[in-house]
Amino acid sequence: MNTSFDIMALTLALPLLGAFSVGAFGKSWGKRVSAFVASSAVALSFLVTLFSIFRVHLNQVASTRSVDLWHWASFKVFDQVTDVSFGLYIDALSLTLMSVVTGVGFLIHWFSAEYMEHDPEYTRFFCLLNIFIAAMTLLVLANNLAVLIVGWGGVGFASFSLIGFWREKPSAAEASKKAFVMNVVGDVGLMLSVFVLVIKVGVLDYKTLLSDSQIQVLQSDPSTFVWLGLVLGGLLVGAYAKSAQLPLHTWLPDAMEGPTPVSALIHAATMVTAGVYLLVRMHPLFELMPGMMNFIAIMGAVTALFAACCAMVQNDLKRVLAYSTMSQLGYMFLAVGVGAYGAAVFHLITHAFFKALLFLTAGIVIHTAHGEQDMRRLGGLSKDIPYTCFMFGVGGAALAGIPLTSGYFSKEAILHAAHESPTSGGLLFLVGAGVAIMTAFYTFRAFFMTFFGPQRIEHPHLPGGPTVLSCTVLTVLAVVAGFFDQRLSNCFGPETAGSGFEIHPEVLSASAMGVTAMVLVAVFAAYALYGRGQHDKLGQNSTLLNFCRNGLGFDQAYGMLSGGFVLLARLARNGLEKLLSGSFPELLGGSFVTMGTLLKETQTGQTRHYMVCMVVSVVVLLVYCLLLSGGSNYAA
Amino acid sequence: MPDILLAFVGGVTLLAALGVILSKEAVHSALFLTVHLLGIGALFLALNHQFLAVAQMLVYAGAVMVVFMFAVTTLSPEEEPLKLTGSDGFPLLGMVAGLGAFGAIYWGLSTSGLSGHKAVSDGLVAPSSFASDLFGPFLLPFEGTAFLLLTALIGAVLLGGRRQIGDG
Amino acid sequence: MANSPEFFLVLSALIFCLGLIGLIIRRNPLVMFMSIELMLNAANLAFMTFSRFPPANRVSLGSPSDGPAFTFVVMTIAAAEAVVGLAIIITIFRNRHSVDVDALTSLKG
Repeated sequence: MNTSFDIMALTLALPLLGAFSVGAFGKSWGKRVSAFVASSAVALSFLVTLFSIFRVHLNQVASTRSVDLWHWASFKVFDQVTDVSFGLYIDALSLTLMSVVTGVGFLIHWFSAEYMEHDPEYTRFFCLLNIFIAAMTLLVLANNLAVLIVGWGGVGFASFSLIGFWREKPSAAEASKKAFVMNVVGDVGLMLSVFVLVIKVGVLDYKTLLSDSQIQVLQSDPSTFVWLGLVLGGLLVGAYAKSAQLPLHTWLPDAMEGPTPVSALIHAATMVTAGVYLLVRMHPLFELMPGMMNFIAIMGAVTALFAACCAMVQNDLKRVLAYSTMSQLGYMFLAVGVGAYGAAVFHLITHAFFKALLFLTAGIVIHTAHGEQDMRRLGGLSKDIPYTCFMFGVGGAALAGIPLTSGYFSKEAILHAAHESPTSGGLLFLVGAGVAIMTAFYTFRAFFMTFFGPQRIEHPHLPGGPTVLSCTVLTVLAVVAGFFDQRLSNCFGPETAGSGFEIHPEVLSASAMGVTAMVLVAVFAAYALYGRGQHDKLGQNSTLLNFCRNGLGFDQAYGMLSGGFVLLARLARNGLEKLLSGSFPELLGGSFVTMGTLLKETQTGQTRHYMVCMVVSVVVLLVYCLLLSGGSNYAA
Repeated sequence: MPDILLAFVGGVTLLAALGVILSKEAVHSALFLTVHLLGIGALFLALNHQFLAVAQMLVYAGAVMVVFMFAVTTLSPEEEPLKLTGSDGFPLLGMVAGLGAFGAIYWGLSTSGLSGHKAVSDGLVAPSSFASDLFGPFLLPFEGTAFLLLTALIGAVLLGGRRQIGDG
Repeated sequence: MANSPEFFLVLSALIFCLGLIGLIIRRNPLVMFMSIELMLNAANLAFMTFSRFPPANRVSLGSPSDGPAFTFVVMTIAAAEAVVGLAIIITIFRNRHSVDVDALTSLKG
């Protein structure tokens, strides 16, 4: 296996180095230097990514290349050896995602530098942020599934520690535990599918596994489909857990317990995009089973609808955004399911921009309002922080898909793909369109409730320069990213035609215009209902609304499921553990004491006793040796 | 050496050994031991080794026994009446263990058979030939003995010194 | 008699066992030491005997000076042991005013 080096390895090394140095020396460096080091590590990664993209554009390097940095491990199963190298896979998809991860990641670092200023554990925060970026980089750049699992696990760890960053808060600890458990469920699925691949194919790196010849081999053998279902199911479980799709989504709304920049990072640049990335990366395998593709599309639509329903009735600003993320991820899965990978990645990128913007501006709002997150107690903030209000409005418009924003183009691309889909196209399009309208409504409900109506916050705390500046960059991106659709489509190569990577935002088709019109109506409806601080009917406490607000009972169902385990654990603690840690060791220890007491008697301290014992032993040994040799070997 | 003389020397050596372990007073034991060592030296001579016979008599029966006599007179221990059947049972135990050991060794000697063992030569081993061996192939063990003696000397001085360790 | 090893070996075995018995039945450490000397000398005698009467296939077993060299080292060890051992006994006597080994039982478990 030939190993070589590629400059993209730096994008992995830099955040790791940043994490290490901030973790080790951050306390002595102080807050400013730590933030600078951590941010510049990510910024440099971003620059390296841009440099790589330019090199591809100038045709200095191949647009798709798999680089083995070093040989990592060999698995041997049934005489079949699987070589795994620690390597990078650099193509249009990973470069695109890398620019988002490091670019948006850098802006979030920049934002946090001021936002987290008063936190006593500032350096730990930046260290973890860098670990998060590094893990996500590894996940995206890995050139085989084994290395991807490392990044996958790293992302899970980083999200766990960042969601529970305020560890003294019991709810944060609970939320981080929940995120971790849900992620581990996904990890197990991913691992299982990798194990099956190792046993059945013996190849883990993308270049070989996803090559046309390999796919044809799999396709020609009908017995493939028995285990391929297991592989794809495992991948899907992993993707569902990471990307918070039904039914493994419950951790995402609770993840709001973390600091707001963490929410932005999880929802925009890292973490939740991992599942979409995995499916897009593995799409040649999924295409072998059209049933699986349909399942993905339908589950994506259901998730989008489900999350939109929940988002409608939330009172917490961040929870609205959390459910909206879930809903948008549902769109992306829908796009993957109908084979529109380009549209999915396009929406992933625009979503990263406007969702990061929304979360960061929400963070400013929460700071301004002294930590208040309940929209019913916010209001009229447009007079205190008009510029933030504007930026949030732009982000909301992009999320809702108002024309000329980036979200409009990407969402239309997905809806168009759903419309064109031959299988269950009509229904998927209708659900998608409905969710788009709901999205517009709940987004602007949040916007109007927060920024309009009577002023309820006294002595607002105004945001500082860097936070506003980083949000401004995101605002620009959230608007203009939509015009890159064709460029992105070209970026995936001239051979994209028919491969699912071409992007068609057919904004002028009748159906698209209809959806756009309905979206605009939904925005006006939201203004009419909430624009002047009216009493909020959706924020009330009725049984049905609370049921929706709490995520349609998934938490309770999982609670009941885990209740059984808790019962079992309690039983083990009270019964088995008492036995094992109480009586059994006592008995064991007691027997040793008794043995010791008995053996102690042989130690009389009398030299002559020892002498006798020694003589007897020597005589016995002598006789034994003589018996053994038979007394014959020496005489010869 | 005629057989009769050899038998006499062997008998004296054995009786002296018996005297060592059966004397009431330690000083008698020490004198019996001297006789025993001289007998052993004579037996070495019967085995045609001049140098070790002389060394046995001079170093062992001479120098080492002086140390023993010095210790015996320094301590002047009280008489120890010998009882073959005591309440502690050690005399009986010792007899049984000793006879058992002898039985085992004798059995080993008789079963392994000594028919293959023949005398190398009838001539005496000259001290010069032993010396060339000692300073040739056995140089390292020989030098090791020097180091051992030095260590023992230092140890004895340290143990027997008037001042206790740590007194300054 | 002088031309066969049996006499010397049986004598050696007898002396060795006398030393063994003495070591067990006597309580005076000085006499115990002398018993040890008896055993060492018995071993020396056996060494010398086997050096004089080597087995037929001696060539593979070593040189004719093996036995005397061992004897020489054993004598040195006996001397060293006598010096150190007697020094220890004298130190014990100085501290406890008794040299009865049965009274020395501080190692009792």
